[in-house]
Amino acid sequence: MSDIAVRRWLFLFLVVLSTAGAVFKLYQVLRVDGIDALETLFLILFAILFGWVTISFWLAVFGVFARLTGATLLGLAKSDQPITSRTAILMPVYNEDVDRVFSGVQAIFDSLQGAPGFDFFILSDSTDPANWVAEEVAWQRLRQELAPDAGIFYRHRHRNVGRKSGNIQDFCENWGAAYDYMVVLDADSVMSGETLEALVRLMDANPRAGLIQAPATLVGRSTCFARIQQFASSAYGPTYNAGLAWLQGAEGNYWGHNAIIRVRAFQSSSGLPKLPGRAPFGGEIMSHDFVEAALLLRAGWQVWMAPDLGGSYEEPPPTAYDHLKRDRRWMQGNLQHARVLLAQGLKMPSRLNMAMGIMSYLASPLWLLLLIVSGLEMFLPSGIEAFTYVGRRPELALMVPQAVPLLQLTTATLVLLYAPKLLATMVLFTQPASLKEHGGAFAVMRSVLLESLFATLFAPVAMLAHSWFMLSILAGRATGWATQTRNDRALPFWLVAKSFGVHMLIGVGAAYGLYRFAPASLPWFLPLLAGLILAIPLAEITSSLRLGEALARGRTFLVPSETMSIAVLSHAQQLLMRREAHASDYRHLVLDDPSIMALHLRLLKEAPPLQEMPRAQLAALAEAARRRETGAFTRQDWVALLSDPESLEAMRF
Amino acid sequence: MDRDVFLLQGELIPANVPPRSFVPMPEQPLTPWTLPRLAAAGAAWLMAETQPATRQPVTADKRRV
Repeated sequence: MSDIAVRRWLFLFLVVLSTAGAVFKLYQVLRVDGIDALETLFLILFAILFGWVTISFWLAVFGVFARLTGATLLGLAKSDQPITSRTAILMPVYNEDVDRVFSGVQAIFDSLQGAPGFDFFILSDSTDPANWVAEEVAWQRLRQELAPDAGIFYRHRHRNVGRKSGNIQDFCENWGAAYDYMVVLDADSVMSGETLEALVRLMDANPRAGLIQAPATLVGRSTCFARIQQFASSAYGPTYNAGLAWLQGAEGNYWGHNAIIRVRAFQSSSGLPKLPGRAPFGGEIMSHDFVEAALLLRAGWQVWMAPDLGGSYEEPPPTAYDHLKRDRRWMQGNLQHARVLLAQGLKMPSRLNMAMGIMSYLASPLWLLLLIVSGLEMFLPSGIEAFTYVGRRPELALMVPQAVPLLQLTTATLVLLYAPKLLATMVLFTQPASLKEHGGAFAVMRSVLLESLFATLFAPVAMLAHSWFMLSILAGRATGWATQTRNDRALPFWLVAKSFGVHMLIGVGAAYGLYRFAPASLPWFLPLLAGLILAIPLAEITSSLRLGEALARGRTFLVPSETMSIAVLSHAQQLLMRREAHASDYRHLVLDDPSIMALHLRLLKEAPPLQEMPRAQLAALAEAARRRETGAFTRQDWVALLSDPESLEAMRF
Repeated sequence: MDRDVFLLQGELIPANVPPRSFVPMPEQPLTPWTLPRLAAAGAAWLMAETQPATRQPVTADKRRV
């Protein structure tokens, strides 16, 4: 048996053993007065959720062991040979902040310092005409700033077939043949040139590697919520990733961006089909990354994670509201994997990755169900007799005999929930340089404590939100393809009250119910209820930029990108600040600025869009635009006009 | 309108993308293991297992009976 097989079997054994032990303990408690249907349901839910928590715990333990023993996490051959292969760096964008996108691209380009073989493609699916023109102008300006032979290309798709995966597929079909590898980025991704070169060298030296994922560290945001996420990602992430990489080996996963992919492998084996039926479970595969990794593995390619490469960054959502909004989309994508999970020929690690993705969202409604069942248990008449027999002697059936095992179970659950954070912190303490980059021992301890407090309060809020999302998805309500909010922003109070008011009301109602009917149980539920009751202030306060900055000054939630200068990130930030001075309404610039009109027309010629609007209607729009009477134009009007070279040409003269 | 006079200057860089060379990306089948498919595959496997190992069954050769 190979080493990795031993590790996997050991992991499975530990998870099953811990779960079985806890379930047996609970069974012993419940069987005292016989197990009814409700208690059976409680036991099943407990088994599933305890097993889920146990997986996270043992993953962290494996991560700690791997870190402390210096285990090899990336079993790939290394090479120092000069790079001769060609790599396309892909930046798919969809109505994103244009300045941010191009600052990132330029920072990565500069970070490569002229390394050979790299080209950049900004692959736009933007449907907002202002974004579309702004991207064209930003691309042209960037090209004019750089050397004439700089390989930075721009392509706009007029129809967003297949969303992001369709965008990448369009690249593969049109230009993939010219490249050995592609590095897929997200609109807020930044990667250092050093990391990109290292990834290419690894691919060059390992012809069976189909994909290498460079886990992204969260950076760059300053709201309190985002800084908490950044700290958690930086302090705990490396340990979790080590555990995952150690168990997955060459059968890893793809997280959608910040990964290098062998184009030939991807092209021949990862074309996504449409699932039968309608959204949300049918249609286009939303969370394409897991499925693409599964297809690569099915075709015999290796998929690796490189947890120690560094130089791979992305930004977190700025607020709890934005975080949950993204979760709504991710949840739908992950639940859709239930349709793929049992596809023929997939490897077991791929199935497990999808199952864990589903479970990460299913856990919330199951937890809610568990709470409802335990609540019903409390309120329904108890079947406990007035006394029980111990040997021949009757004893009063006080709660004492059950309290001890219940307390043990609660303690075990708490340990499993919080130990991974402590274990990861322990690893951090064994790395003096990293500890210093997080602000030092006291700063780290304070941050871990506060992060744990926040996570405890936020967990029930997320639980309710996820449960609601689940219901809406099961009811057939599909989410659209919305642009993510990536800028720091303090949430307006009305939005917070509207979004989290229900959480608060449920919290207050549940607290009153417990106080009225089961006051002895109230203390057990306090942490959970506190999160719900405080949902509005929690979301509002943590969206504060000022609080985030004050915490940074107080050396709380510090991460390496804040305590030291990371060249590629600092450069991207400088470029962004320089660019933001040029903000304009780019739709009108096409009409007003002959050079922008010329640029736009030239780019339209490269990929002429299909015109759907009747010619007479277009002529009316063009006439109105010529008179600069565009106030009543809808987005569709602008898109139609800007997509019609004939009308635009006519307006030039 | 906040017109910015510095937006584009100089010659336009013409090529926004390199020449295209179309290579289709085939859709990969994702056929789930439904119960009938599993049963059919199981039956096929069982039948394959019960195929005679030798070309002629022993009972076909009377001299060997």
